[in-house]
Amino acid sequence: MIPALVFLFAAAAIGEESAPEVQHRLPAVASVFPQGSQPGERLRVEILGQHLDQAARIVFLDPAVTGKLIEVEPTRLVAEISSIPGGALGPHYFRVISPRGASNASLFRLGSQPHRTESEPNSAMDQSETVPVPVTINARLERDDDFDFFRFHAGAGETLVFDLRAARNGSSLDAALILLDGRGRKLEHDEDTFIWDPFFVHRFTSEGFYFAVVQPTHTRNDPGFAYQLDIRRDAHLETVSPLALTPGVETEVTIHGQGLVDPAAQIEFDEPGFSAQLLKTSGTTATARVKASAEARPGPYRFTLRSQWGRSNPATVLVDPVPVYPGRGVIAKFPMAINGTARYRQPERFALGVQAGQSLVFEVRAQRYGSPVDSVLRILDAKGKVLANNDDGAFAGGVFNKDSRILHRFADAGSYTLEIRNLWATTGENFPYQLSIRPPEPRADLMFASDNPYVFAGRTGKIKIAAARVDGLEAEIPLSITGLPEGVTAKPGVIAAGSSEVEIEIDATGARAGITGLIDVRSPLVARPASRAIQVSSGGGEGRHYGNVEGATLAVVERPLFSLECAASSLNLVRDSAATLKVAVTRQPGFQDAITFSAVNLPHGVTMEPVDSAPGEATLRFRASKDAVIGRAARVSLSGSAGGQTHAAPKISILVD
Amino acid sequence: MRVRLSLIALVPMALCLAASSTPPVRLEVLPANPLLFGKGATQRLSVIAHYADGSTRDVSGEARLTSARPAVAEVEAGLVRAVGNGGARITAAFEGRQIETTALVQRADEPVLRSFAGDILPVLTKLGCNGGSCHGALKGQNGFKLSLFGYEPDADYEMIVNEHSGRRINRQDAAHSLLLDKPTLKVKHGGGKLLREDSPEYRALLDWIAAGAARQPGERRMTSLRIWPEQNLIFGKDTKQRLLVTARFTDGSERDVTALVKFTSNDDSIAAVSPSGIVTAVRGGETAVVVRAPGLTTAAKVGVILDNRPVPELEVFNFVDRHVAAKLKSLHIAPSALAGDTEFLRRASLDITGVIPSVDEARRFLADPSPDKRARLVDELLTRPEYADYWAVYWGDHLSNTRQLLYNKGPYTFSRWLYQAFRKNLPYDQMVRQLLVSSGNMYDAPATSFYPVMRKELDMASMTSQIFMGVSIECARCHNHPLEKWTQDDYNGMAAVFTQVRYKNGTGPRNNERTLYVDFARQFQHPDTKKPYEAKALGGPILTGEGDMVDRRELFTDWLTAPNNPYFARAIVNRMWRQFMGRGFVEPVDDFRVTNPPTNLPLLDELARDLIDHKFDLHHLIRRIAASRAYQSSSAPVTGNREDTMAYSRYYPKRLSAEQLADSISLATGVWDGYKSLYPGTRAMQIPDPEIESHFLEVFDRPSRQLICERKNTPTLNQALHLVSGGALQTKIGSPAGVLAKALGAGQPAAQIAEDLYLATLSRFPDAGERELARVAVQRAGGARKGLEDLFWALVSSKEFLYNH
Repeated sequence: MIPALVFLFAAAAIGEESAPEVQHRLPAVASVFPQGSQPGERLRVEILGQHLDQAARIVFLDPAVTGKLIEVEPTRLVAEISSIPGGALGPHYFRVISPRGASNASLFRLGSQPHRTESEPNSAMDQSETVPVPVTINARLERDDDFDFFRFHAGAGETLVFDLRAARNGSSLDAALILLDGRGRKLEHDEDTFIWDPFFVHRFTSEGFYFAVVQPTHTRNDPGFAYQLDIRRDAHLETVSPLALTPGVETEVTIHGQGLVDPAAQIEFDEPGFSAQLLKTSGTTATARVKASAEARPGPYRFTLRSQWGRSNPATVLVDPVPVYPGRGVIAKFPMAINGTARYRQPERFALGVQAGQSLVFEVRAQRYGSPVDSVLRILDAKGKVLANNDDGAFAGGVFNKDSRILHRFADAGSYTLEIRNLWATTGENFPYQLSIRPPEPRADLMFASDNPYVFAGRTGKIKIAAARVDGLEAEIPLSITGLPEGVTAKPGVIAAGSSEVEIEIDATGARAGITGLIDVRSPLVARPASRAIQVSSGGGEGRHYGNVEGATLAVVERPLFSLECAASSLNLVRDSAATLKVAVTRQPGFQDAITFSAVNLPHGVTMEPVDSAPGEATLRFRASKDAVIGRAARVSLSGSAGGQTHAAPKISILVD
Repeated sequence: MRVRLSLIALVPMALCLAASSTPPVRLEVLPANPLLFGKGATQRLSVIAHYADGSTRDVSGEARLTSARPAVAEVEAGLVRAVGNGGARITAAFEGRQIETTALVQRADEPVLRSFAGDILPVLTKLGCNGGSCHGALKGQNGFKLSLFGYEPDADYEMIVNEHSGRRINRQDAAHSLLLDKPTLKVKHGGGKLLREDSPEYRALLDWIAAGAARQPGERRMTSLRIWPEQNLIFGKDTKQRLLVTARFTDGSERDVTALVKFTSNDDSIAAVSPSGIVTAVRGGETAVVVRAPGLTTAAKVGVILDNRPVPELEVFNFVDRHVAAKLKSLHIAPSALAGDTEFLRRASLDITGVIPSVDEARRFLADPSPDKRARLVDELLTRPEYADYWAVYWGDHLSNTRQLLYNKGPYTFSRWLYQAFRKNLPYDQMVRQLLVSSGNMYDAPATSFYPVMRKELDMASMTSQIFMGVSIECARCHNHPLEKWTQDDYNGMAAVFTQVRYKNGTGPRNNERTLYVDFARQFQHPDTKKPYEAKALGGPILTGEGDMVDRRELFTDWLTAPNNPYFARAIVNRMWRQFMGRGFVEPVDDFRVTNPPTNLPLLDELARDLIDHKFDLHHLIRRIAASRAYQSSSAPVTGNREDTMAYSRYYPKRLSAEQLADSISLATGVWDGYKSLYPGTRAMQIPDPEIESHFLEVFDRPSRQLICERKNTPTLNQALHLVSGGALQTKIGSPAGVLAKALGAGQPAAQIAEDLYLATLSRFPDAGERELARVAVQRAGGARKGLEDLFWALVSSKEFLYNH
């Protein structure tokens, strides 16, 4: 941290109505490195972000994983993350808690394979790092011209799965994964199989050493570009056909995926009540007998294939007690479920017999549960006239959706045709769907407007809850809220009849700053508690990755006396020259204290000095010396201290050229 | 002295064309059996003398023409004039030979019919008034708009006679009509002086105006043109040959329209043509003379032979050579010798994989004594991943694989798709089918990148016909094609094939994830008239299918890739032939048309048939071409083929493309370029997107891919300077990681290193003189490193390195 610089402002009375609002800035986590471990391990990680000063603790939603802060800086934390030996595999969300509030949910992943952290330098073939197989490598592309070369051995006829997780782990790294043979010739190349994460499966025809190369698609790298690379012997699961099981009925299913080569692998569900046996594997498919207990609740379940090496990724199968269409005859009894395969120009058509005035919901379950189907649903009358059609329905909590949904009221009794097909030409047996036909069941889905809301200590605030009403639910929706932080109370909320949202009043007049609570909002009319689709990571352009969390973390925070805003998000400097940056200062009414500015993460050879001050605005000069390090510093944080508080502006980047 | 020099110059000509001084063995009169319609109708006759050595000469000016029945047809100054109905025997005599033909006169009791479309519009076409740069432009010029080359007579008549209250025509004083005053520059005219008052064209316009500038309903117009002779061989530089043109009209009559049509030569460095149709031989070769009349075009082939002595025949390795040999024989062009192994190795490596061979590969190949080693080399090259990289770049150029059209990620996925297609040797018809009928998003179905989202069905129509049929129909977007039969209806019919292509946006979490799907119900409507169009394959059938889920692209693809399609196989054969031989049968490769005939149609057709018979296997086509004697000809010219640029008498040298050059320099020096955001070791041929920066590649004409066109390969000063004074080459040569430093570090003798440098760059051993030069270079430089660096630089900068030869 450079020496503090002090500005004294003349008192400036600004009317409250015209004054800009002082911004409260929550801690924000941008990346975690390493991104995961095996269950039972303890690992030191670096967390990068903003407004992380004063971070007090790390809170995981799943108590099987815990974190302890070791170092705290405004844009960087070091923490130790531990998990219990039996901790559930997959993503575990956590938040950083400070008096500023709770951060966004970030992700730490538990995996079944041995983990290792990359060893630099490994940016060229002759620097490549030899790794065992199977392995999960924690690595990052942290500086320009950083590539990662991993050398490994594969046997003749061996099939390996290469799975790079960045977007799915919350990293904004957009990388390509390339497989080279021992002579450097390219065997595979992939970029965007899962969001912008590359993935491929390769069968090696000859024994020898090979190279897995991780290459960024960005022109500039960043310390936040962390990822995990799995080189697995375990299969990659995609989808299951049929997609739905009937409780208590043994069903032969086909598992679609890649690297399905181990017939000895065991099928394991994430909940009890299932029996399953793998019958045959053939590379891209496996057949199995699966049975869900008669008492299994309806809904999605996940399963993996476990082998001597580790585990596959999970796949999803539905359990649904609704009678299944037997494959012939008119469908006249409802509810009914159809298990099928969506094709392109060979649509599946089903005869419907309905009563006059009957309303039915036709809902495709496919893409939301791992199937690649992009369904198109149509209802036609006896003359072939299209009465209703839908490509993509709206489902609460889903940001990207390709499943169709139609609620249709049949004016006349008679015979109709229900038609389903895939929107585009790539189809096959691995395009399963379940089509549910049932009378409307009015209901609602509850959603938080924010998954990390806050309220100022000693004041009141509001939490917004939205309801997505489905199939004609118009009644008022009473809400209850639990899990509030100590000293915080809330009035019962009601979403009025016909309305889609309400703001619940929160009272923190008796609460102290720095405490949090995992709040739960429910309604007797709604099966599930309120949830929130969270943006796990974002890439360039329109790319976004979303997850979903139930509940929200409510924090009681200190009310900021001032906030800072830089006039630009980046600054270009040439060696032996200077540039100025204006910083807007917004103050609470009556707050006139001097503000001391400081900067962290300035590039070597760059200094900051005061130039000018005016009410509500400071001008800072950045000077690059003759020997300043050329390149980009992406995480420069400017903060000011006054009145016992320190607040930073959003980070800026400085490029020295 | 001057006289003496001239005489010396004439000697070879006299020797070469000695046969012309002997009497002809036969005569030919053209047009054969002329038809004359109407009293006073005339037809000019050409008399061609054929000599024992196969040469011919236009002797029209010297031959004597007589009519046996002057009451039917009289002859004067080479013209036959209609007098009365019936047939008249016309005799042509020259140097002791004579030939007879019969002129048939009909409707001699009627005057020769004149019409606006048949007589006036052709004058405007010939003068260039309705050309694309004048009043035939889309918006005309200065308020006067004519249809391009007169394809819309009705609209042109309205514009000339009636628009602006008929201000362009003065029926009372025809000579003061604006239509005449402008081109004669009596009043200001932006197009300059086009017409002389003593010209027949002026007289035709004046007479028509004076007669009332009338136009009869349903008046006759030309329906077809015929050139006499259609195939010409002209022997000797500056020799002249008259072309005659007859037209058939809607009323069934025929007429000599030579004076009414416009002549242009496709290559006037071979044969120039005058406005009256006199062709003058310039240099040896073959080209076409195009004849244009309102709404009609046709072409005649003209071969020029400067030396008609017999030439050695090309050896025949496969059927390719039969056709090349026939062409060479007909044009009296000698073939070059068979290329040596070093030339073949380097040439095949560059043409098939885009990179020169390594030192080891060169040593191995040159040491191999087996007779089939060339064929085995080709087989081996086709299995290399570099083959797929190279052709993925070629098709990336032609399918607009750039982030400017496909967003950031499109070029990567599309490039990989193209790579896999060539790696697996996907049959060409299947590859095109996958592109044309693709659907889905660019990540899961990369072939959809054939349809950049910002292009509409009209673009897709012209792009598809241009790439896969070799036919450019872009002109027909705005008006009927001036040089071909394609109309706006044809264009819109093609656009209707692609109207069902739609996009669904924001369908997934990836950047710009859009799903291409087919809206089966969607119809094409003309952008202006809103008239619906049926989908129609260009030059093919209306595309209709049964049911409500018909993808018209699929019907089109069925038609396109059918074995009897007249365009598809020819178009890809032409492209591949150009890539290997340096000159397509048709140039530009996407401009097949009647007026741009192939250089060797029988060969093009047999290669196309061969490709079809082998299920569009591009490996087979490459093997066929590479196995031919024509492909294996030396690039070194011999007497009699130095000027040849179209008959494939020798291998035409090609400057290495940007990527070929970059990778070849890297391979030779052992120092690979670094490309931003691409892993170290990435070759230039593996760059998916031209937006990835490389100054070297820009200098050597890497295309932006935003327009579909062939690469430029002409050398520039900038390129020369880049090699001479740019630091990149010198840095590589002197790099501690390079082959030279490693060889010196290993203590190899300078002579051995020099030999390796020749093999690394030119794929051949140095000859004795070159070895000595290398020795001297090392000696004079005062050290092996400096001397060998100089040698290395000289080799890489040499034409022998920079060209594929």
